[in-house]
Amino acid sequence: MKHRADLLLFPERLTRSFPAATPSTERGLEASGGPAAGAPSTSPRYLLLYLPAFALERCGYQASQHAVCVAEQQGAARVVSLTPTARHEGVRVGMAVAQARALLPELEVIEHDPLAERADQADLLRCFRHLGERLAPWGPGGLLLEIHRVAHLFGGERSLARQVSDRATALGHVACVVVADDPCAAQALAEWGGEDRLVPPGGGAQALAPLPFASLRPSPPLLAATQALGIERVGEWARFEPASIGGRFGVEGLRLLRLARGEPVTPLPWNEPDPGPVIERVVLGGPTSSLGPILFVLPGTLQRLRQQLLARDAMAVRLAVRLVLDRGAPQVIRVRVGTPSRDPDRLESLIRARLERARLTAPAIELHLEVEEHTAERLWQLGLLERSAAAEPLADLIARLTDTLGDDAVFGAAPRASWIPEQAWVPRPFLPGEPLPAPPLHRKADRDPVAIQRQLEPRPAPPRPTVLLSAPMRVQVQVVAGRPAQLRFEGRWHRLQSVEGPERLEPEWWRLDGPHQRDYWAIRFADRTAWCFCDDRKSWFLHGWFD
Amino acid sequence: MAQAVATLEHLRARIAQIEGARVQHRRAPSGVGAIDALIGGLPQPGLVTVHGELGGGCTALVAQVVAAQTARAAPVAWIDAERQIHPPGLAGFGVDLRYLLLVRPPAGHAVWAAEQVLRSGQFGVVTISGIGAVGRGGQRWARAVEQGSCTALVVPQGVGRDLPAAVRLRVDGEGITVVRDRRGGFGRRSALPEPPWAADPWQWHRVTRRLRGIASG
Repeated sequence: MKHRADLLLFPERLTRSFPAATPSTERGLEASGGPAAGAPSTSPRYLLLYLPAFALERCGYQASQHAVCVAEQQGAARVVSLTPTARHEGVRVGMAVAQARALLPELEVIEHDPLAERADQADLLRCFRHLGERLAPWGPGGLLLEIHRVAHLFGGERSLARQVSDRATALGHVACVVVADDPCAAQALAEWGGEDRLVPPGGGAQALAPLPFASLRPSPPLLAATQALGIERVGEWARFEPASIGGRFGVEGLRLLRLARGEPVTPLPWNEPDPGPVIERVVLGGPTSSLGPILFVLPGTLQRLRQQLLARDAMAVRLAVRLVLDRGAPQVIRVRVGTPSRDPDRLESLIRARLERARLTAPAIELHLEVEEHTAERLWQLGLLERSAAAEPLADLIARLTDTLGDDAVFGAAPRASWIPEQAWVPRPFLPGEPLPAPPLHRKADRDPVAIQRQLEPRPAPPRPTVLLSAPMRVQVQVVAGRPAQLRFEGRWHRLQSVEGPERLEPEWWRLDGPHQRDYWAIRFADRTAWCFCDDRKSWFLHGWFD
Repeated sequence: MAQAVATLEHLRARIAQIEGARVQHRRAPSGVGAIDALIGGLPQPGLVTVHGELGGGCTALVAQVVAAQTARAAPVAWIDAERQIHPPGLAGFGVDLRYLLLVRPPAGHAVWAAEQVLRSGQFGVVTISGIGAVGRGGQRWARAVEQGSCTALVVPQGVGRDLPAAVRLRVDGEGITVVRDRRGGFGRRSALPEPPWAADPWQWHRVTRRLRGIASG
C-alpha cells in the first residue's frame, strides 16, 4: 500500500497518464490483467524503467539544464550521457566535448564515474524492490522488472507502470516506462520512441516495425550490411525468411529477426546474478605525493585481484587504476593488458610503467584497482617468426604504445578504393599476416561486359609518392605547350629535368567544396622528384614527394 | 679457504657468462643488392642513417629494404614522426602492408616511441623517419637496438649527426654514397636501385595515354 499512499501524497502525479490505447493496446490491457483480471498472466511480461539522463540526475542536474557527462573515448573526451534539453539543442552521445560546447557554450560538463553510477543505480533499485523480486539493473540508467506474476497485485499493468513512473519522477528523474514481451524490445521502444508505452502481449512486432533498424542495436558490420541492402526499418527486416537471414548474417541476424517479429529472445539478468565488478581497494598509510607507497601496496593488491579473477576463470583485458586524492576528483589511469592475463607480475610491470609517467595532482589517499574488461578466453598469441622469444609480446607492446600515444597512433594500413590520394588507405588493427580487405567490385561489373573485361585485364597501378603532404602546398609552375617547364620552389625557379604525366583524377565530382579535377604530374628537378597537380582552376599544388 | 675458492670460481663463471652474453655485431643481408654490395648488409644490431634532400630517394631506398623484409613475412615497424608517409606509395615498392606497423606518435613522443619499439625485440627492422635532433635519445636508441637485436633505419630531417650510427648513407637522387661505415668503405658509391614500377617504361604512358591529348590540347 506504500505506493498508493505515495500517490495520495502527490496527487499531481495522477495526472501523468499513459497514451490513449489503440484497439490492439486495449486488447492487451485486458489480457494483461486490467481491473477485470484477478489472476497472474501466463506469458512473460517485462517493465522497463528507462532513465536517459540518470548519469547527470544522480549528480543533481535537472532535465531542463544543459549538461553532459563525458568519458575518454578514442583519444578524446566524448559525451556518454546528456540531459533531454541538451539533446534537444543538437548534442548527441559520442560527440566530442569541443563540438558540444560549440553548440552550447554554457554547457556544463561532468566526468563519467561508472563505479559511483553503479552504486547509485543499486540504491535506485532498492526504491522499487517492493514491486517484485525479479528486478535488476538494465544497462546504464535502466531498471527491468518482471511483472506478469505481480501486475494484478498492483491493479494491472497500466496501474503498475504509472506507479513506477510516478515514483521515478518523484525521485527527480526524467523517466520513460515501457511494458513489452521482451526487455530488448522495451529498450528499443524507450530509447527511440521516447514516450511511455504499453505494448500488448504479442504486439511487439507491430510496435517495433516503424523504428529504425539501428534501434535493435546490431553490431556495426550487420548495420552496415543492412544499410547497403537498403533496410531502414525494423518492419522491413521482420519480413525476411529466417533461413535467408541465418545463411547471410548468422546467429546475430536470426536473433534480431526473432526480436523484430516480437518473439522473446533476451536472456534475463536474474537467471545469472551479476557478480559485480572485479575491484580491489587499498587505503594508503597516509596522503602521499610520491609513488613509493603506491608501488609498495601494488603487488599485494594484484594478488587479491588475481584471486577474484581466478574465481571467475577470467583474464584481465583492461584495468583502471583509480587514485583517490586528498582533494579533487580521483585520478584514473587506464592500462591495456594486450594479451589477456591475470599474472600479477605482468600486470604490475604494466601498471608500474604507466604510474611512473603519471603526475599526481594532489596527494593520494586510496588506491582502487578495477578490471574494467575481462575475458574468459585465452586469446591467440600472434606469430612472431624467429622472434617468438622476444622480451615483450607484440600485443603488449601495441597496447602499451596505444595507452601512451593514443588510439589513433598505432595501426596497420589497408588500401582503400578511392580516387582521392589522401583517402586511398585506411588504418586498421595491426595483425601480422591477417589478409587485407578485398577492394569492393564495381557495381557495374555485375552486368556491364566492358567493366567485367576491365577487371580481368592486368592494369598497372599508377606510381604513388612515398611522402604525401598533409595538405597540398601552393606552388608556381611555368607551363609551355601544355606541359610544366619550370617550377618555383624554396624561393627560386628550377628548370625541370623530366616531367611525367598527366594522370587525371576526378574524385567525387558531386562535392561542392573543392576542385573536382586534378591533373597529376611527376616533376623532377634538382635531382628531386615531386608530385604536383594542376586543378581545374589552373592552380598548381605540390602534393607529395617520390622520396 | 675452500669457501674462498668456491666464491672465486663462482665469480669467474659469472664473468664468463657476462662476457659470453656480449652483443655479437654482424651484417645481415638487406635484400637490396645495392646496399649489400656497398656495406655488406645491414648491421645487426645497429643504427643506419639514410639522409638526403626530400624527394631524393631516401624513403624509396628504405622502402625497398622494408619490402624485402615483409616479403619473407617478417613484421616491420615504421615510426612516422612527420605523419606524411603514404602507405600506397610504400606498397608500390613491394611493401606487404599486412606486415607493416605504422606508429604516428604525437609531437614530443617520437623518441620515446621509437625506443620502446626498438627495445621490444619484435621487429628485425625498424624504420624511423622525420625526426629532427634527438639529443641523448640517440644513445638510448643505440642501447635499445642492442637489447632488441634489430636494425634501425633512420631517415632524419637533417643529416642526423647526433645519432651513433654504425653506417651513414647519403642519397642524392641518382646514387648512394657511404659517408661512414665502422667497417670502412668511406666514399664508396652505387646507383640507386630502380623502383619496381620503373621497370615498365610504358607504365606512365599506359596510365595517361588517353589524357595526353587533353592536357596538350
